[in-house]
Amino acid sequence: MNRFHFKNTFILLLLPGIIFLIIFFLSPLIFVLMESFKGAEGGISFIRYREVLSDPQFRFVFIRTLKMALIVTPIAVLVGYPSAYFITKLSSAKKSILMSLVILPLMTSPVARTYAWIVILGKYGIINQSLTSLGILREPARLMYTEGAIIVGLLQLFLPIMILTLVSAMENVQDEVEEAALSLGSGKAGCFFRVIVPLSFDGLILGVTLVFTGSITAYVTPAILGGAKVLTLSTLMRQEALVLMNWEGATVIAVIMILTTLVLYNGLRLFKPRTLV
Amino acid sequence: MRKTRNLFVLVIFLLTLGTQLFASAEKESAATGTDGMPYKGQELTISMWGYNMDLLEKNIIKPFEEKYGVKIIVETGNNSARFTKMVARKDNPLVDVALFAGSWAYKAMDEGIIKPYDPSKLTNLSALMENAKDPLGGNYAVGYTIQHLGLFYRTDKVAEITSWRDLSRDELKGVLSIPGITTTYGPSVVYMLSKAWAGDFNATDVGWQKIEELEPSLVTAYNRSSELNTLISQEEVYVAPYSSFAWGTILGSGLPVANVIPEEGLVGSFSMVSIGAGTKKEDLAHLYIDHLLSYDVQMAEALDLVDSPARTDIDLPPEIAVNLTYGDELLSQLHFFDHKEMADVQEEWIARWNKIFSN
Repeated sequence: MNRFHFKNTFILLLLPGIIFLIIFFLSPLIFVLMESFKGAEGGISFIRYREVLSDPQFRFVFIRTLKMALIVTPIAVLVGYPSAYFITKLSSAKKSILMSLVILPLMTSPVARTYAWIVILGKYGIINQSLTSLGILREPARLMYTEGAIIVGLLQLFLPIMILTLVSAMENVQDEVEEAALSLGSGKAGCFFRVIVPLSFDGLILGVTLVFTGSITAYVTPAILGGAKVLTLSTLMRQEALVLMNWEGATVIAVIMILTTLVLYNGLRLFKPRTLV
Repeated sequence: MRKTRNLFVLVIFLLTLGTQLFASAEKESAATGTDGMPYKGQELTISMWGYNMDLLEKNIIKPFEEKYGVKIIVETGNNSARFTKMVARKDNPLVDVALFAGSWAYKAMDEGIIKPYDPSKLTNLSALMENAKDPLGGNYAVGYTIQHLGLFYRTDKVAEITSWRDLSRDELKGVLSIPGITTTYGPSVVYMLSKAWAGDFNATDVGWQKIEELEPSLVTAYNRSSELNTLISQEEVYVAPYSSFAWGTILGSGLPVANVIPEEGLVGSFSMVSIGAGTKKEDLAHLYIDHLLSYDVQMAEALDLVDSPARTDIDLPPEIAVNLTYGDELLSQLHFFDHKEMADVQEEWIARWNKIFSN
């Protein structure tokens, strides 16, 4: 009876979330999928995929977007992992302060954050002024409206997410496990790579997926920092939908974005350390 | 007991009757107005640009709301975003009055999201320039403000600009910007470069070849006038084609800038206002359009350097006039391009643009 009651309560608690996801996530997703496979005269067709994938301009933009996401994600991991490890080792009070600092940028509008980069990366921005006044550069360098500017903007946007995900995962690693590894002769680095990393691998997969997906689908940052000369998948999709009214073409791009993320997510799971599978 | 029940039923009946009478009286009062404001309490949805919104609020929206006791709901965005929204909601339209520019107004007419206005309801129509009264034909739109695409340059950084050909000068590499192809004036850049280099607006292959040659010199292409303002204030851009309605803000940057009438002339266009198809507030929508065309609004907009008047009876002080699309000399330099033609080639031109800018 108690078990039955628990099961019912469990279902009731899940229900609002499930209904929300079905209405606002699953239904639009199914609609997008169906639309992308709709033939010119009804029925299922791959013609739109053929059209989009055979377009050299799409391929160029896809590779560029993928390249930027593949640069942003490893940098976020490299910077995020030590930061998260350091944060988990702090006392509760210090941890709260540092976590607040990590969360702080997430509380600012992405538009405001991105505009701040214009001031930093601009022709007479902080970076160019410092480099020219130090004599490292004779003329201000072109930093804005480049792929590099987008990468920096995306990294700032998504690094806090990576750190938060890793901190949550590392907090589940008990201190005793680490102590045991050290007492058995493992060095600090060995302990980190052979104990901490494998035990927080699920958090890493989640962090990588979130950062990669965010980098591939971000619109505001590439639009402002890249401008019209650096088209990405999301700016191209906007153009297809809102300018050309080619909704079908836009749905194909959306599905390709989703598939790319799914491939990465499942691919990463293959690398999960065997001892933990 | 029975007596109490009957009394209870009677009270309920009287209450219901009273409520009904009160509701119908209220409804009637809302419809006819209680203080000579027949539209008091109603809402009117306007689809428009958000540029200079504070000034538009001051000069147009607030005075209209106060005069008629209505509430204006503003839906802002660029032409393409608002157009797409209106098309997507075609079966359940929300917009009563729509403002579009150039080929987007033509596309709105073609798509059936705007409907013809009734000239007899626009008392200010007769005061407009002849070509502003019905720019699309069929009374689908009124040109409420005239604009032009000119060239500006930083007087302290580059030598004088006199022609669209000057955009190819070596010194402008890395300090030049042009409007993106999806903007109101994007296609006009192709026409003007064609005229500059081939002597013919319609030799567009030459114009495209020049766009390709200019691409490496561009800081970026801007998709909103506010983007151009940022580029100018951050001193990224020294030379660019600009929309006249943005000139006030460009001057406000405090930088030494000058605008020129190039040898090839200027691109002229009207921002147009139309009645939203499917509106249930046609009379109020006409009133709003008439308000937009009124002397007071057109004068206030001009004095704030927001919109140049489409009316012919606005006399402006010289210091204001010089910064607007105003005066016989300047108006005679304007070239108006065919909206239908621009709408027809849009898809092909966007693909051509993307090809150049994706490499």
